[in-house]
Amino acid sequence: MELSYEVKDSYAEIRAAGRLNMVSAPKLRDFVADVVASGSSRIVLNLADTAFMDSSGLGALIGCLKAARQAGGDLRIAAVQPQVKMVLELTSMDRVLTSYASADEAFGDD
Amino acid sequence: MNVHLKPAGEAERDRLVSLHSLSLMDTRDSERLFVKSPQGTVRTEMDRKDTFCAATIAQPDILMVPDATADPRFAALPDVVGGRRVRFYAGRPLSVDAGSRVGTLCLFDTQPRHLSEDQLRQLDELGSWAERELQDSGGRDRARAVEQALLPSTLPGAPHYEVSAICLPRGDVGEDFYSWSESEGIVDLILADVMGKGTAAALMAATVRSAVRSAGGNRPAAVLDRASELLAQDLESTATFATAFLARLELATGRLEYADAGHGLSIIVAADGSYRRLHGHGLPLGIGEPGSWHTEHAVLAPGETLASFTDGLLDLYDGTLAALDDVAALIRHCNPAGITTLLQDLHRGTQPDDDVTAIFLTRLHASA
Repeated sequence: MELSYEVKDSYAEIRAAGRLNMVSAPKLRDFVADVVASGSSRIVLNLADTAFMDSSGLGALIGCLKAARQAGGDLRIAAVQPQVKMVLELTSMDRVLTSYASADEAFGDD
Repeated sequence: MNVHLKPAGEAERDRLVSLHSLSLMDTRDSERLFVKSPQGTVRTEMDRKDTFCAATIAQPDILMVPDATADPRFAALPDVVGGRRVRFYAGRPLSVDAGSRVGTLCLFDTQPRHLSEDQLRQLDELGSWAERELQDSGGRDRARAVEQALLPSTLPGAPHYEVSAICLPRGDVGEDFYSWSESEGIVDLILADVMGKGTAAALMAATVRSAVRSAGGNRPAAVLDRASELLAQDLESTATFATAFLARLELATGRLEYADAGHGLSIIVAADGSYRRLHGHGLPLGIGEPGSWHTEHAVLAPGETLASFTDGLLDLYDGTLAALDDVAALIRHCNPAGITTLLQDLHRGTQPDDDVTAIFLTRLHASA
């Protein structure tokens, strides 16, 4: 999984490209923890190029959400692809992890 | 070079073959020796008592025979006088624990040879490696046996119902489980899937199983509430969650109470193949708070089938929710036992990346 980030006006956008599974889940957790530690706790995770996520990947998203909230911010997801959307809906985690069409819209309301 | 193993699983023999270009000899029973070659599936069988390996396994040290035709102990072996016309042999016995020798690692040649001290040491080291491999695989086999033993072995004894279930782990151990119990005309079903894969997830699956079962005998949402309290600390400290479907069926009436903790894959299929999903909106254990789950209601009419399965089943089809149509079609045409047999065949053919666990319960027509 390829991870990169860019600090925008009111949030940091992290792009995750590849499969979010047992192998890449710890990398994502570490990456987000580093971004939070560097001072950006309002995070948009852009999943436009994440075609697949398994339960370990979902666990990583939850861990990242907790890390952002503990630092006083939030984590929102954007551009969610069909398989990832299915996993979020089956597990009812779409109630906890709100998804937005694009990274711009994720913090557009506040 | 040949490795000769007593009863060992296909997987570990193949692992030895692929890692070291070894051909493999395996005694499937105590009488005959099977040889497997990395060049293909050429197999020969021979009477094991007439082999070098039988002589090696009978004693604790490396057995070296520089020229078998000049050694009265081995000159008349079938492998020497005919067959491969073996002249040189060196074998190291393999033990899985002190004193119990279960196989040999051995070298053959059609020319006489003598191994140097250094080469003997290498054979010994390779033998130690093969022993560790055997011990590890033995541990995995036992773990799998324990896991399978934790699944229910008898079906609820319910007239006018048929039930069948499978739990097919992706690897040696799985992170899914199912459970059922019957008491006074009420059947409680549990199906759960713990986050992650491998041994760590299997450990947590056993923990979750224990908690959910000890919280049982109550309405499904109440069981989830209690189980989540019992599991809160363990799930928190391991950053793990588990999805679960709990159902309580009154056999006489088909009345069904259920609660869904992030499971999402339960359907009732009618006799004509149409189906309805049992939507729950609860969060997984480890994420939802006690009090957040709701007990929902449905009725399983005569001729209808309740099916609940983990997402690994979707991967046996196209990985999307369109697989629900395939499962419903399967249920329309087969009884529960037939469905699980078909799914087992499908599982063998597809080598999926996830566990496949499923329960099917059909309420028969009263006249059936």
